[in-house]
Amino acid sequence: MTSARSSLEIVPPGPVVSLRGVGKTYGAGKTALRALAAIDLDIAAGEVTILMGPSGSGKTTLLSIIGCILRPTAGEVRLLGQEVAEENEAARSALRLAHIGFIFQGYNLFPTLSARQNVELALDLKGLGGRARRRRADELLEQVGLGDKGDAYPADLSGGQKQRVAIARALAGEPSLILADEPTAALDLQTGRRIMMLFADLAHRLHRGVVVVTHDSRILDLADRVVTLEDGRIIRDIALPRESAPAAPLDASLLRRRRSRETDLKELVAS
Amino acid sequence: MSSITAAIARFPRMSTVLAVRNMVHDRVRLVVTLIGIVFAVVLIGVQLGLFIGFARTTSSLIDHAGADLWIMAPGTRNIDQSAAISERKLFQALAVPGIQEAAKLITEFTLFKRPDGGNETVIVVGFDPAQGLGAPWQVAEGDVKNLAYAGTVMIDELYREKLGVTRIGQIVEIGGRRAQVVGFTRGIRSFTQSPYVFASFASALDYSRIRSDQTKYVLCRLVPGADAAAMRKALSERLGDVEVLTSGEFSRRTQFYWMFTTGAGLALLVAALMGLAVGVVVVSQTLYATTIDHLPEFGTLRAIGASSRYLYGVIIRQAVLSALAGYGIGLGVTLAIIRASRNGGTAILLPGELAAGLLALTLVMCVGAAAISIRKVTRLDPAMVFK
Repeated sequence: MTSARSSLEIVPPGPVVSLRGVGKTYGAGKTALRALAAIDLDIAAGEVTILMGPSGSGKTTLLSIIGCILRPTAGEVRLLGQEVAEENEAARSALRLAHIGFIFQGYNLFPTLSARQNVELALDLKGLGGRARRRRADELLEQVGLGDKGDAYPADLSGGQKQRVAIARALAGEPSLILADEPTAALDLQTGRRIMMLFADLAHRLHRGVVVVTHDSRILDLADRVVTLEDGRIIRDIALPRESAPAAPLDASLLRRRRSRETDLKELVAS
Repeated sequence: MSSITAAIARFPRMSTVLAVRNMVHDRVRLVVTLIGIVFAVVLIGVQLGLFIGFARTTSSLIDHAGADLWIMAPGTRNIDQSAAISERKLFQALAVPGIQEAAKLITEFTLFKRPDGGNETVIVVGFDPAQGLGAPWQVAEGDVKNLAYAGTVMIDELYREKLGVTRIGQIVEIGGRRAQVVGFTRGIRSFTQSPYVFASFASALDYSRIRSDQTKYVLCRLVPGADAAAMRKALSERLGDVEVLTSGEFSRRTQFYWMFTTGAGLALLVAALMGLAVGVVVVSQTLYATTIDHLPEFGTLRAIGASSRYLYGVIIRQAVLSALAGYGIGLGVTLAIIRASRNGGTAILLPGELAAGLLALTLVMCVGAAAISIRKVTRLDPAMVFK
């Protein structure tokens, strides 16, 4: 809970990430491939945003740009108010370390390290060492329900447990923004939903911005907002009001289309 | 301080943990890496040990003679081969202020007849037993004083079999003259493979073709505190048609002659370089293969914000850990080879400076070999984590 308090204090008001007119084109000339065009998007702290769309729609490219991994070829990207699109790789790397937690489809855990060491590695990157690093890694594993699995190696863990280790690792840097690429793709429905509920808990309780790229329509009901992409453009952006809404809206600008949650979900699944 | 050390040992940097785990993850590759490093360390260690051993062997007579200055025929290039000079140089040298004592010394190739009738070439070393300049050292059996008796010699234990000498008191034939063995030295090798046979100056004249009024060298010991360079200059001016060198100068000249003008040293250095090249190739290949195997993990590290320096740190730690492990094993093997060759005709020396230099070279070799891997990681696109 201490972490939650400190995060609330760290994340400034306004969107965690703000994209304006963002475009991305791979290559040049006749072989140029436009992956994204004219993207305007704000990601707020305290909500889970799902990015959906068919393969090749630009979801992963958008996630990479939000995560300061890729540079856009057009537009402006602000992370916590700071313009990052023109930063060099070293600066973007430092920004990722300071503000963003990543969760990958294939977990991307280090197979030669135990669950605790995987988390410790991320803490080591932040400069935390010694006994404090180990204690913090155990706390994070405890938070994701793996307090008893610290010594287990990834090969000995189930898919859901691996993803929880990855989440614990992503939380190591106390990020303002958590980005997840198809985090439930390799998991069964129940495990996938549990992971999504964990994301929702992180967003709501710890006040993080969470962006999840997924094809999995069975987990949409756990999102606060669903953004659908097609051919590199946002074609739908639906805010799904929570059953028990927070005392104050997280960001009024996000709640553009207030409809019933059930209606929205039905429409999304049908699409 | 000890609590800090204990904490570091208990909670090492994760980059070190990752480096160790990456290393030991593939045991076969680790073994190949270590074999490569051990091979390089042993080859370089033995070749450079041979080089130093040979170099010191070539000049051992000079280094152990106890003289400060050597007077010799002009153009002398090594101690084993030189022209004779007049013995008057001895008396002229003694007349120069600052010379405490001086003595004649000859080294001359001659024939040694083995008991079975065969001949061996030896180098007779004739010195003045009364003064001891140029006397044998490391005496294993017998007494140097006995060499004062005419017709007596000492040889080294290493060459007993080669010369067919089995015991003290044995009569042998050198340069067509009878001689009695009165002692053995231990570990006085000859670079030319013609064993040194120590005798008094008078006896040595009998075994060689040098006239009694000649000598090969005049060895001078200076009064305490005398400036060797100044005395060298004074002797050169006073004695005229001779060359005067300090002991160190003559030692280096002799070593240079045998090690480089004969090609022997060059061959050893080339072999050592080959060892280095093999080490670099093996280590760079295995380290690169390990890096490629773990590329997705390096990509993940990059994506989650690891700096380039952190990534290099992991690879360099792997290289350093491999170097330390390989050096440890390689040094053990090298010392075993040196121990096994102790009683042979070839000296392999591994002084502390060489061992330390070898460690530094191994570290440089392994870290240098990591350059290709570092280059690969440098160009890693963090976006690979989403592919």
